[in-house]
Parts: sequence; structure tokens; C-alpha cells
Amino acid sequence: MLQKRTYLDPEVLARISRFALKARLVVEGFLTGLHHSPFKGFSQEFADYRPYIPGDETKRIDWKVYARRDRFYVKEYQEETNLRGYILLDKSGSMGYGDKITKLDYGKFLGACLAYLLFKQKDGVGIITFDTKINEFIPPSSRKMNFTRIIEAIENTKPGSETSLSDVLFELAQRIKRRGLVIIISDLFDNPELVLRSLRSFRYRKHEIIVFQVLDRKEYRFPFYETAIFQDLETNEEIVIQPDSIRESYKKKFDNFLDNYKKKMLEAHIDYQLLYIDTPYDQALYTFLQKRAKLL
Amino acid sequence: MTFLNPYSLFGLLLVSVPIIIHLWFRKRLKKILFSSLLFLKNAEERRLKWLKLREILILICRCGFVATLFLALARPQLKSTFLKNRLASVYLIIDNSWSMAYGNNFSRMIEIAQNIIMRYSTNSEFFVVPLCPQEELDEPFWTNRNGALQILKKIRLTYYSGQLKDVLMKYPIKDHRFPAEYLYLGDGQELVFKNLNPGDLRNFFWIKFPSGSNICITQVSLPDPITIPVDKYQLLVNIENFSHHNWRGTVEITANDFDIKQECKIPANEDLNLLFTLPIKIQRGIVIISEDSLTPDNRFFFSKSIPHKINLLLVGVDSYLTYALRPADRINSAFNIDGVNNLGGIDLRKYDVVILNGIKEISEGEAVRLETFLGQRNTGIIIFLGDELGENLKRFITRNLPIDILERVKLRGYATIDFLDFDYQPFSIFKETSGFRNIKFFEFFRTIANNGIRAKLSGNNPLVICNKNFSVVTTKFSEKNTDIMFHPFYIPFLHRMIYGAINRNPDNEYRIGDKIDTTKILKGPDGEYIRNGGFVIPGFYILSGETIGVNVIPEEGNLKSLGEAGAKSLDIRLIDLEKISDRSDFSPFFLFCALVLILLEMILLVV
Repeated sequence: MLQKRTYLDPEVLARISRFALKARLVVEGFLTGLHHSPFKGFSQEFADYRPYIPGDETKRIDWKVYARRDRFYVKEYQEETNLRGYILLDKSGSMGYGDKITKLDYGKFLGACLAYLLFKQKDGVGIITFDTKINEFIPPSSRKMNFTRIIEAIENTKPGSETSLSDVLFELAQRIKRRGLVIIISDLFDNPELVLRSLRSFRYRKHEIIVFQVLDRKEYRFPFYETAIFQDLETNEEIVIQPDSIRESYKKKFDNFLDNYKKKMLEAHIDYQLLYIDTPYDQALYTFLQKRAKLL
Repeated sequence: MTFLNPYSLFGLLLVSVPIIIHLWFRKRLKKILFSSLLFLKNAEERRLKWLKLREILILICRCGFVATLFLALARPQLKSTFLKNRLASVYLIIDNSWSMAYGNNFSRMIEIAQNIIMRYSTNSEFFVVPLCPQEELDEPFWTNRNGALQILKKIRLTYYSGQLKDVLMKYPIKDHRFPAEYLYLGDGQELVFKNLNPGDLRNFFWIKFPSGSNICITQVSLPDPITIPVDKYQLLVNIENFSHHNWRGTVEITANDFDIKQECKIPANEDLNLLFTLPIKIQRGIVIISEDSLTPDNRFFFSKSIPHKINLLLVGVDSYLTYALRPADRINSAFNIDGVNNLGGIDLRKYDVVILNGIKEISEGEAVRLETFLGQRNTGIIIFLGDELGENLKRFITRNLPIDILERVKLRGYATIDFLDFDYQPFSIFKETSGFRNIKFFEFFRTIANNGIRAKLSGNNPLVICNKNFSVVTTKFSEKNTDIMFHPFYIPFLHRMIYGAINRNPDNEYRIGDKIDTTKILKGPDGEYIRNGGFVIPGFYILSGETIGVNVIPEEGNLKSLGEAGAKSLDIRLIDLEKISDRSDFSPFFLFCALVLILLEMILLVV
């Protein structure tokens, strides 16, 4: 039997067909590996006490604690304290790139894992898939039925056409009224300035944002040598290229592209994580949990 | 546009081959699906554009190469419209001088002339004239196209030289029905346009034929002053290189049982004098130079008469004359000279020539004796007029020469020799010289003569007047009157005058076109009798029992064309052969294009 930790490897996961199972294996595998659980103390019924503040409903005062300590405390329940997580999954054509698993496959696993994690924590979780427009919008909820719908939606997501990341993000920023945690899984192949402007509009509405930029190492290294016709997965445009003649210049441009995102995300207080499709999922999950810990 | 080889046009289908190869190679290229071309385009946008453009350019070059190659093979032709259907009275001058023997100039010229005639409207009229006289042709007349074509067929290449001025004066244009146009077809040497002035020609077209380079035997002469040889004599051969390249070759003299050769080298546009020593018995033969572009002047038929000693009586002794006639450095002078101060008691019968040098007067008896002397065969008298002229002497001169002797002229400055009659056989050797203009004359007798003037001073003043064996020089050769004695031409000039006076020219050579006395019997090179005619072909002729050599006019061998500027100055419209030729062949153009395209492709492949 495979060790649970093994399920953090994307390639191994690719061989497992059931999505819900995958997500469960990943999350549990990940959690088993943690020495100190960051979720210590959360519960289904009760979350925590906090001192009474005038304006709180009196019915929420725990009179037993008052009797013991002579102070007013109110109980905080999970519904009030848990996050509303929005997973934004980019399903544009460029996300369909990859050999053994595609960037979209990776993004889908990652999205499923995060959804499972949020669900398991009783956080509300929803998913939005998009390319040039929003394709699927499942509002956040902590109900099991919702989780099942999310997993189904993720499972059915196929690479779409061109991307218009900035426009979609801007539209979503307008649409999502209640503040929450916005998790964006995308290769961010769009104009960085426009994308960042859209992300700032999320921040303006007090949303917390985690951006997972998913790339294939081939996109970075450009390991092609023979003259070939390169076809754009989004536009189907073709050009004949001698890779040797442009490799240096390409890598320079790509580095600038990544560095620019990294720098600008930091400036905008947006958590940013670059993930290659061979990166184990625990890195992403760890980033997520750190962020969540900050928020709670 | 028409094609001489239209089947080659099927080759244009092969233009599809590069396109097919291009597409096939493109198909063979591996297709890689890539997430986004955003960075690839950004990376080398300009370079990628260039690569794409280069690919298209290479394809165009390849297709263009195939297309132009097969178009060239199809031999595309464009018909010329020059002179097409023009209605005019055409005065057509055909250059049949011997310089047109260069390459295939003459036959090509006839073809083009025929073509030109056919281009004109059917109603046009033509006046076809050869540049050089051709005896078998009738006098030219206005005729239609067919008549002109018939005349053209009769025109042959001659050994003559011709000038447009002579033709136009001999056959002035008249009685024409339509606007007149002159067309001259030929190589257009400077000689052809000689004596023409701006304004002489109107509506004149010159269809220019190429002229090559030429090596020419210009003269074969006895070196002056002539000495009487004992057993050998020297012959001077002048060869001129009219070309733009150096010439190296052999000059050979061949005669009966005699042959001598010399190797020589002549720089471009220069001439060379070669001295041959011949036995005295070889006085006629042929000088031959190795072949070059024109053959008529590669042979020179020479015939020399080495003179016997001439007994000369010099009346009025003068050191300049004595020295000139018997130079101290010549051990075997051609002259035996007796010098006296007057004719008293002198027996003239033992002399060939009598020179009266500055004698003032003669007695009536002496005049009678001199006239008797003149009447003898092969004798001659030369008179140099002195400061004064007595009545008896004047009467003697005017009785034997048709001249009026006027006053004696003493110039403030000086006069030079403006004219020398090169047609006068003794003076023909001075043809190529111009140094006579440097000789100064200060005093002379003004004379008026209708004919027989062999030399003139500036101001139209006769210097030498000849009638048969009697010559008069209008001044005495003394330091007071002239400086001719200090000039290199002095001795040859004097000697030639004496040979002329006694009709003993050492050079028995003529040029084709020279006039001869029609009363004399002339036999041609093949022994045939020639009546009323002149010399037509080069060779040895017999004139009154004496062998003479006849050669082409050497100036014709100088193939220097008039040039564009010269033609413009004479209002001549110069027409290129390309323009007149019936069809222009575009094959070289397309071949050139094919070459350029293949070079362009190579450059594109390297870049």
C-alpha cells in the first residue's frame, strides 16, 4: 500500500482516477507529515470564547463561565469564524500545456486539495473556473453537497480557449461582495499590469489573496533545439522558430515576467507562490495554511 | 513580345517546384504545441518578422530564378518600331569604303539597310548612293522600295575611301516629293565627315556600325635625301598602330626570290619606321604585315625607281642650295652639280636640270636656249625668283607658265606654307607632316596663277607653281627671304621639286582613287587593259610600260569614329544598331536577372 506522503507527488496522483479520493489522500498525506498541526483547537460545535462586547446578543453569553469566573464571555461558533474561500481556477488554453500532467491538471488537483482542506475545516468553499469569461461559479458553502459539486466541477474542467485573466478577475472582484480568501490558480499569462490592477481591486474590497502561478519547467527552460513550428494552444497561431537563435532572449523575457509578478505581488501584499507542475503539493498547501493562520 | 523558342515557356510550370519543396519542408517541420507564443513573439519580434520575410524572399528568389531562366531560354524578342511606316524621301548613303570590311560590318549593313527601307511607308521614295564610287552602278535616282532594294543588292565593298561632302556635292538632293531625310549607314570615321561644317546637314541620321582597331602600312619610301646606291639601298617602312593596344608582329618584304622579315612592337596609337636594306635589283615588291582586323592595308605594293645621277646646272651659285643638293655626309649624292653665275657659253645639252637661282635677267638668246632645253625629254627648269626680275626672264616665265607676276612683297611679319598639294606626286610623301607651318617666309613675288599651284603661302600667295617640267618658286631661298634652309624639310622639299621637274619620281606608287592621265596606257594587275578607269583594287599596274604599285588610302585604316559629341556638333542624329535592329533579344536581360536572383538567394541564406 502506498504511503500517504507519496500522494503529494503530482505524477503519482495523476494515476488515481477519483478526484475526491485524490484530494483526501493529498490533504491527509500532508497533514500526517506536519509535526505541529496549525489547526489545533478547531471544533465542529465550538470554536472559542471571547470577552463580551456591548452590542453582542445576551443570549450568547455563557452563563456557566460567568458563574465560574464572574465575567461575561460569549461563545464563538464555527459558522461565524470560518473563512469563505473562493478558488479561482484558470482553464484557458495555455493551462492545457504539459506532458505527463498539464498545468490545468496540476491546478485542478491543487484546487481540489484546497477545497477539501477548507471543507474539512468547515470553511465555506466555492469555485470559479474561467477562461475569457466565467464558466462555472459555485458560491462558497461548508455543506458537504457543495463540496461534492465543487469536486464535480473541477473534475469536469477542460482546457478552454484564450485567456482574459485581468478582465475576469476584475469582474469577479465586482461580483464577490463578502470578503473572503481568494485563491487564484493560473499561469498568469496575461498583461501583468492589468492582472495586478485587477488583483488590487480584490484587495480594495478587503479580500485576502493567494496567487498560485502554475508553470511547466519547459516554459521556463525552453528545452527545444530543432527548428520547429510552434503552435499557440490558445490561439492556434503558428510560427516557425529556430529555438537556438532566440533562447537567450526568451529566457530573459520570461525571467523579467516572473520577477515582475513577484515584485509587484509583494508590493500589493498579495501572497504569491510559483509552482512548477512537478512541485509536490505540500508547498502550496503549506502556503495556504500559513495564510489561513494569519487570517484567523 | 514574341519568343523564338516558345516551348521553353512550359518550363515556367517548374516555378511550382520551389513552392512544393517549400511546403514539403514546412510540413516536415515538427509541430510543437506551446502554451503561449507571447514570449516567443516578444523575445524576437523583429527577428521573427525578418525570418518570416526571409523565408518568403527566398521562395520568391527561387521561383523568380526558375521563371527568368526559362524566360531567357524562350528567347523573348521585342519588335522595334523605329521609322515604322514613315513617309519620306530618303537619301540613303551606304558606306562601301574598305574600312567597312571590318568583321561582318558590310553584309550586316546591307541587311539593315534593307530592313530600314522596308520600315518606311510603301509610298516613300529612296535615293540610294554608295559613299565610294562604284563604276558598274548607274547614276542614282529616286525610286520606290523595290527599286531601292535592287540597288542595294548591287552595292559592293570597294577599296576606296569616301567623304560625305563629296557625295552630297556630287548628288545634291532635288525633285523629292516628301520631306527629305538623310540616312548614312557606316562606321563613320572622322575621314567620312571631313570638310563638313555645322549647318551643312539637316534631318541627317547616322546608323553607326562598330569599328575595330587596325594596324596599317602608311608609307614605304626611300629615305631623304636620296643617294645613288652602289649595290644596296634602304627602304623605309612606316607602320601605324591605330588601335588601343600594343601590337607585336612581323613585317615582311617579299619580291622575286627575295624575302626579308623583321619582328617589331608598336605601342597603341603610335607609329614605327622600320629600315630595310634591299639589293638594288629589288626595286618592287610587297610589304606584308601579319593579319589584323582589316586586311586591305596589310599589304603595300611598292615600286621604286632608284634615280640615276642627275646632272644639274646651278646658275647663281648659292651655298645653301649647293649643300642641300650635295650634303657633305652623303658620299653618293644623287646630283652632279655645276655652278655658274650666268648662262653665257654653257652647253645645256649635258644637263638634266637647270636651276636659275635669283637671276635678275637673261638675254633673249639665253631664253631661246632655255626653251629648247625645256622641249627635250626628261629635262626640267626651276627658277627661284630673286629681288629683281628682268623683262626677258619675266617674258620667258609667263610664256611657259600661265601666271601673272606682280610686285615684290616685303612682309612686316612672315608668312607660312598654308597649302601643299599632296596630289602632286613628288609632294605626296609630305602628306603626314604638318611642320611646314613653322617655316617662315619674309619676302616673295606676288603672283596670280589659275592652276599648277603646288604650294601656297598664307594670304593665298603661290609659292611653287609647276607646269610639266617647268617650276617657279616665288622667292629665293636666302636668309633674307626665308628660314627654310634651317628646317628639316628643306632638303626633301628641294629634292622632290627637282624630281618633279624632270618627272623622275622615285616612288612609282599611287593610291586607289588617284587620277591618271587617260591618254596613257594602263594595264591592270591581271594584265588587262584599263580604259577610262582608275585604280580599283590594290596591286601592281603597268602605266605606259612602267610598273607602279597601287595601294589603299591609309587614312581609311584609322578606324577612329566621329563620336557622339562630334555628331552632335554637325547636327547628326546618331542611331544605335540596337534601336534599328528588327528585334531586341531580351534573353541576356533575363539571364542577368536569374543570376541576380540566385546571388540574392545565397546572400539571404547566409544572413
